[in-house]
Amino acid sequence: MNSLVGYLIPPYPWSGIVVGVSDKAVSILHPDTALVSIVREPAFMEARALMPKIGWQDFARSADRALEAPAPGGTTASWDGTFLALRSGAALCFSESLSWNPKLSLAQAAARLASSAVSSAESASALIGATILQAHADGRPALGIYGDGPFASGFRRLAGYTSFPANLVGFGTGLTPAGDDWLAGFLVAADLVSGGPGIATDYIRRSIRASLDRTTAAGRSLLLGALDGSPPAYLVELAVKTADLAVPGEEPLGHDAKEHLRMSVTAALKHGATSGEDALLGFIAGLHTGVPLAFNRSLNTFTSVVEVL
Amino acid sequence: MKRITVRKDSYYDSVFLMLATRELKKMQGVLEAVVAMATPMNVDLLGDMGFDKSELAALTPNDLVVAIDANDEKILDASLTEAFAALKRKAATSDEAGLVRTGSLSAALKIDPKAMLAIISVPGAYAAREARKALEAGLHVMLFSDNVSLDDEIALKKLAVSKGLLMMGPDCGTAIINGKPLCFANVVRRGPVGVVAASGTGLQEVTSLLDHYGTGITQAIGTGGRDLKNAAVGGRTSLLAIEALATDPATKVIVVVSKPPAPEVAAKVVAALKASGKPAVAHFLGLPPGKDEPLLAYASDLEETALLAARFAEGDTNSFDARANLADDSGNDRYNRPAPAQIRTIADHEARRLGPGQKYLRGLYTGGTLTDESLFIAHRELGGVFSNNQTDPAWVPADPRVSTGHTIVDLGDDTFTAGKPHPMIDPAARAERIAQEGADPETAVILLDVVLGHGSHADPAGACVESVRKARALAESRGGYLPVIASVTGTYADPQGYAAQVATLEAEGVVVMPSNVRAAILAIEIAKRAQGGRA
Repeated sequence: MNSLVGYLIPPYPWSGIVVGVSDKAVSILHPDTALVSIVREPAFMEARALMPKIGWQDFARSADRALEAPAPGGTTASWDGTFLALRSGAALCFSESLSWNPKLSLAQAAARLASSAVSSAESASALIGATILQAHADGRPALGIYGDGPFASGFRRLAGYTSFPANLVGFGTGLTPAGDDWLAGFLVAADLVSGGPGIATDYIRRSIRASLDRTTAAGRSLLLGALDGSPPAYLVELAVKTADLAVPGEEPLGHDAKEHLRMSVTAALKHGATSGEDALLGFIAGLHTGVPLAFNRSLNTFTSVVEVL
Repeated sequence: MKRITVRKDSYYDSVFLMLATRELKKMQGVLEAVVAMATPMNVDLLGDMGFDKSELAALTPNDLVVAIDANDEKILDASLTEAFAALKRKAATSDEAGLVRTGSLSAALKIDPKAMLAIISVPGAYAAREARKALEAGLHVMLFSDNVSLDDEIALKKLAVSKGLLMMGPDCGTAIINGKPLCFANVVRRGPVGVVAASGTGLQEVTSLLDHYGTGITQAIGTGGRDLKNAAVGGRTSLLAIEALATDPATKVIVVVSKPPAPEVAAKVVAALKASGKPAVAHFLGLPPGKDEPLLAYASDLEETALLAARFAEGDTNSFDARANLADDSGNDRYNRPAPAQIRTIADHEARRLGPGQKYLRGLYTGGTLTDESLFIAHRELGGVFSNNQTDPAWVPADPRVSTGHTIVDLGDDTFTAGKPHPMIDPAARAERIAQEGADPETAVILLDVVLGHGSHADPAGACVESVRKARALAESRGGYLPVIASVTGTYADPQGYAAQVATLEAEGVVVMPSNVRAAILAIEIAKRAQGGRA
């Protein structure tokens, strides 16, 4: 396995401030005000992420220690195109890295779906919705953007505005606001049913881009990738498995495309606190939004999903 | 009464923010609580909820806002204290089930200093280091990782023994400690039997059968495959585990299950069992059983291991009584054992419709120990069986992906799992192999294990029935018939549900036997009839 460098990593050289460490990623605030993530595994890749071949654990520990006793001005991390180094000396090497860019996979997925876009998209959306409902029935709390509480009612209110869904930028709980997750899911699905990454719902994209200063650094990073047609890896997987529904019979016997999609949904639900679920719900809405003219129809479909959930 | 508190330029994992919100909402007297980033949309929402907009005006999206609506000032103060106490646990996150996550062992211990066991699953190169840290911190260790060197294993086990700690593993995937199933394990009722096992699915089979027999376990301690097999490791974990169970007043019976051990290690284990003073059952897979002693019974298979342990648990005071009480193998006893005569009847029925070219047994297993158990019997009874688990190179197939003659494959072996999930997690590879065997006109019977429990696929039976259906249809299209025999390793309380999994298989015409060994015997009987020309 090689190191991976997301293709939207800002051009070197630059220095950013380490702002957080989790068990999945070290987050660095880039001067462009969006995060760059140093992720542990390919499954966590994004367009603005780096994944080292080795050394992530030690690097994360160093970053964590530095955060506990921060230097004046914060803990800086510097990128020179090959090395990412902390001021404390810990460094990661990316000399033999591959560029991570999911657009080809997504374009191929969109092409596969094009042959039977309507039926596949609809059966995918039904299956995703059913899997989420089952997760709730199995005890998963309904805390996502469609759940209970003030954010859920706020979301329903926003869904009635003409500025929807771009008005979701920065809305909701989480370091990456739930609305941003919803939009990332929405955009990748809309692209999928519209022929390829980065091309669907142009007017919504423009509105979202114009609102990027209304969200957090993490939300900006997510949306920059999604706007360019490159969502996080788990949403790429979801899109590919959705497209696989369009080619029945090519799977080996017993290797059910629906089961694969269900597994992708289950994996997505484990992403973040409610991020995965919010993105899945956006994805369902996006599957019904092939072209801007279809937007009202999609809203009807989407509204029905809200009622179900 | 509403109050807003802000933490400027803050970064907290989303999972943590959700947990903090949930904790606040649970507090008595808290009417509403929001812990969120101060984006314009969220600030608007808080304003709409009646929070003071002037306090929110100067915030930026990178600021954290804690907004609480409570019955009185006192509750507000207490809830804010709780919120910011939680914020101090910066490194900790939590999933929706409330499971706390951290980035390091030391951080985890800060959160829960009373923790007594660490499960370690990291790449092999780092595993020994992490295990050593845990042991030095006074924790028992379950080391799921494999690819740990023999030297490291010995050093870790020496360290563990010196501290009186259990070092389970490396490559230990199954244990049940204080009633909690760890990694791949079943929901087994509590009872008086303590189990020590150098085999994953062997432990699962024995503990699940104990549950079926109405008894249960105190602890089921995994040791890792090399603990008994390798003389240099010397059974250090097994011996310490036996000692621990011997001194545990809740443990009335001790069971040891292992793949073939090194002879000198086996002798030490037997000595330790005898020294325990408690009734014990030993099963060394693949070795002829030893001669029973009053308090030590040697079982010949996993089912018998569980049966003998159940008898001891029910009050039999010596192995001779226990064995005598199991002698009625008529198929009508409370242990649900189809008798040999019944198995032969089923075999006659299943073999009757086989086509003329159908000759061979094909065992497609997800569990390593279950593979071995069937393999040892079938190899003996059928005059030779190919398998990737065979120790005799003459019977290791050139390509384990293709069956030759009688074949029993362990699909969880590295040959099949490199870069893929284990088939107990993702049964797709087995479903493909079932289809492949169905397409082979020489296949006379397919033998399967279906392993339930935590860690396993959500519906392992359901994942294979479609390919079973198609494989059988193929056999019938050739004028034959394809018997499929299975056992389900699991309990009624498992997440997948034993009853539901059996029903799924039986609905597809699969013959489900109550244990792996009985399933293997039935499949062997069918294969014998196929070869004997009775088809």
